[in-house]
Amino acid sequence: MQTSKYLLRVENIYGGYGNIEVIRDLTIYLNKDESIGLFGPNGHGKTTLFKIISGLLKPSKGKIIFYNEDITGLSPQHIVNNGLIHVPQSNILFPRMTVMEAFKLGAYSKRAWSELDKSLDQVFSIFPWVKNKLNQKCYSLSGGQRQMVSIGVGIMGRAKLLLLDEPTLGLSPIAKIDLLNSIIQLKKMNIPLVVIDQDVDFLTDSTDRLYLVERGSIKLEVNKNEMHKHKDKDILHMYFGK
Amino acid sequence: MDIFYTFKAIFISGLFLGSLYAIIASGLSLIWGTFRMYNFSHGSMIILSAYIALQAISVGGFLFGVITAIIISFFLGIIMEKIIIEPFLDKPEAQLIVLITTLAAMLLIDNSIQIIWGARLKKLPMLLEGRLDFVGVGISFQQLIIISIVPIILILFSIFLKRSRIGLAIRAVEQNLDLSLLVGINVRNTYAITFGISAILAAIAGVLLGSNYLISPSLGAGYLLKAFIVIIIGGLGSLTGTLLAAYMIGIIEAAGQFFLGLYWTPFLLFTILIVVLTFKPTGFFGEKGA
Amino acid sequence: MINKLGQIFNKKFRGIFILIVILILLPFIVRNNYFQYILILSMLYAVVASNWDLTFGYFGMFNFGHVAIFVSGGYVAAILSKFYGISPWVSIILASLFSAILCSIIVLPMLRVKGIYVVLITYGFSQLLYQFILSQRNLTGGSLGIDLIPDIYFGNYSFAQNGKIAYYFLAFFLLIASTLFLTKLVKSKFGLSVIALKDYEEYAVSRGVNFGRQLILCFGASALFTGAAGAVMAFYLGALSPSMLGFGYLIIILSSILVGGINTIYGSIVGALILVVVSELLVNIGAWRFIIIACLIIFIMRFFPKGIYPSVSKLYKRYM
Repeated sequence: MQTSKYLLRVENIYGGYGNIEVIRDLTIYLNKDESIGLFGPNGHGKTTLFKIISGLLKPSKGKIIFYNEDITGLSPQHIVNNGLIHVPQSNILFPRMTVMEAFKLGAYSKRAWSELDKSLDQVFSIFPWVKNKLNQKCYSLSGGQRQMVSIGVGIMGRAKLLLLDEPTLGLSPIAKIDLLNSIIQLKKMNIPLVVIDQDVDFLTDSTDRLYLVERGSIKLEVNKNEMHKHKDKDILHMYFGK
Repeated sequence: MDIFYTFKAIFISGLFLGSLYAIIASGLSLIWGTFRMYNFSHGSMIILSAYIALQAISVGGFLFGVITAIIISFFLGIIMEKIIIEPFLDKPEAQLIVLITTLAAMLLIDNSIQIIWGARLKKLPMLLEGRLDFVGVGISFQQLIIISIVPIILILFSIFLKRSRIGLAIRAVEQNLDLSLLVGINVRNTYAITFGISAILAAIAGVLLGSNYLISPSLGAGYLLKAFIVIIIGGLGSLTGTLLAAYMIGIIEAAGQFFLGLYWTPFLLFTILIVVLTFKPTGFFGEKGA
Repeated sequence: MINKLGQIFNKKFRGIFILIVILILLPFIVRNNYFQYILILSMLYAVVASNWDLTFGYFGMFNFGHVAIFVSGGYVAAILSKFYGISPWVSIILASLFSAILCSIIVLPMLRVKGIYVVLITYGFSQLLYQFILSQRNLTGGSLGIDLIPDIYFGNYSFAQNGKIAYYFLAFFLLIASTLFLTKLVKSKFGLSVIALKDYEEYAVSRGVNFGRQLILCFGASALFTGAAGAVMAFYLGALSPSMLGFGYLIIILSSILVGGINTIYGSIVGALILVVVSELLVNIGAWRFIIIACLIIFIMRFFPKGIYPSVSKLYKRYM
């Protein structure tokens, strides 16, 4: 059997909410040893796509293949157990639980539960400040802190792939730099990423390839070596239409 | 009449009633927290467990009876969840539908009890017979045992919720359903187990209740109402609030029974409910937007 | 006049017209006391059910105390006529007014709370009423109930004569009056404002609809004929029992609405007719009766969540 060079294949996906179709014939690929970013106007399906990949929503058509396994239509629990972890947008975490409990829950799946301590060390190495916040309740964290704890929760799941939805949303420029450093560390740990974000500069710094998602399908694919050609003005052009 | 004695008697009696209400309300509160719904069959489940315990005790003794009742209730709880709750969770107006289905379940359970065991009053055997003098007030051993056991049970329950993996999952589902799915929690199983645990609490309540009072098939409704008052006054979503409110209501009811008599006490409780709802709709410890 | 006749033969009214004619002729054709009893019960329950649908289906509030209002209407009429010698006709009217006022009062604590609190408050209220009836033995007979309720007279004619057939027509008349009232109300500006409040609350309020006022009026309106039905039942049966405040009866009437379709007045009436017949047929099997009804409800909620009547009529329309 031919081993695919693709980590993740999302092929000709159609899906949405009830009768409303949001994603129309969308196809993206993630190669091994790379991270990709998704950008584009709001409401055009990026978060919906993540929900379909992670199992929260079922696609009406199409296939999703992760590490050669067809995960289309599987339950979120199954998909998490395979190591595909979705870190949602504007995550309120578990408001009345402590940060430590949230991390424990991140490792809830059978695969991750046995390696809880190891994962915790990884989280501490990326976000050292979190060690002092372990007993704090989630609702008392600032927006930026919550974002990073969310990513920490994702790491606790022994991720083989992390889907990050708008990690820089609401972050100050300084916090964004911290986040970028954390992401670089994630990549050093060989955890591939698919990142959605409004900040195209952030995306180009943290990923190797970009997809423009517009009206539920891919309008453009931009490679890393082409990115510096398109920087600033051109990307914005593409982003906001002709 | 010695006013000090009256005060002590009401307080002790209130502690006892409060203990019962605490354990009854905790099961109801668990369901509210996880499903955001009311289980109208909770009272009937309590009474059912008492009858099951009674039956099992006559077969194998007290301890056997209690354990059997708890185990059977657990599985009954899971079955009930699958039939009257789960199919409706994603429907519009789910709260209203589940209200109706749990009402139907209440009817089903009450009448099944009547068919299986008949309508005559029954009583469970007590752990310890006899009365004693406690700080100058007459009280039965059984009641003293209940007053002491209930806090222990509730503390154990609280520890279970906080420390165990399942407890973590239950609390997670309560606080953020989507994220629970995304960390790999099997939410449907968690729902079922939550209902089973609520049934276990109902079983314990049933055994305690039945060992102290005469039970009959239709007793559930009155206790259900009191439990509702307790969790609303204590504040929905707060276990501590529920427990404090339980003891408070217990003492108020004991005082009411002494000063107003048996028939007027329900009015007192209901008035308190109305007053609290008017001035502090979220209860004393409740979360906003319940 | 020609227009009115034309209206009668209009398709929509044809079915109802036929039903009315049948109901009028029935007691003369089938001279069976038990059969008549079932019909009278159905019609009175139909009044209760369809009025319950006003607050339940149209306003979206679950009034747990609706059946309690029905029963208390009966008690009021019984007490007034038995102990105070008030004419039964006046008692019925007083019972009706009392029920409307009582129902409006229950609403007051609910103005500040939402959703499921409504259920709990009305639940508490119904339990309170039950306690009250049990405790006031001198007035209500306590758990034994009240009996020897006097008979209704029209001039010299006692309603108990001729196999109580006069009660049949009284109940029938009440049903017609109640239904006319409800249909007029639902189509009126008031009715529309209520539906608007249920479905588009913020918009309705911003357009000047007063939520609290409509709530009080709606609850009060729903109790008017309900109380009257309770009074008629009291006189017909000659006795009342607090067991009528039990969950069994509540579930039967609730199922009428569920079977008949939550948003239709006629549906509730048809539902009540079906359900009373079914539950009366089951009356001999004791506690099993409620077990079967309970299972039926769970089954209906599972497979016919909008009520059986709408689903069936959809099928009917599709194949005709």
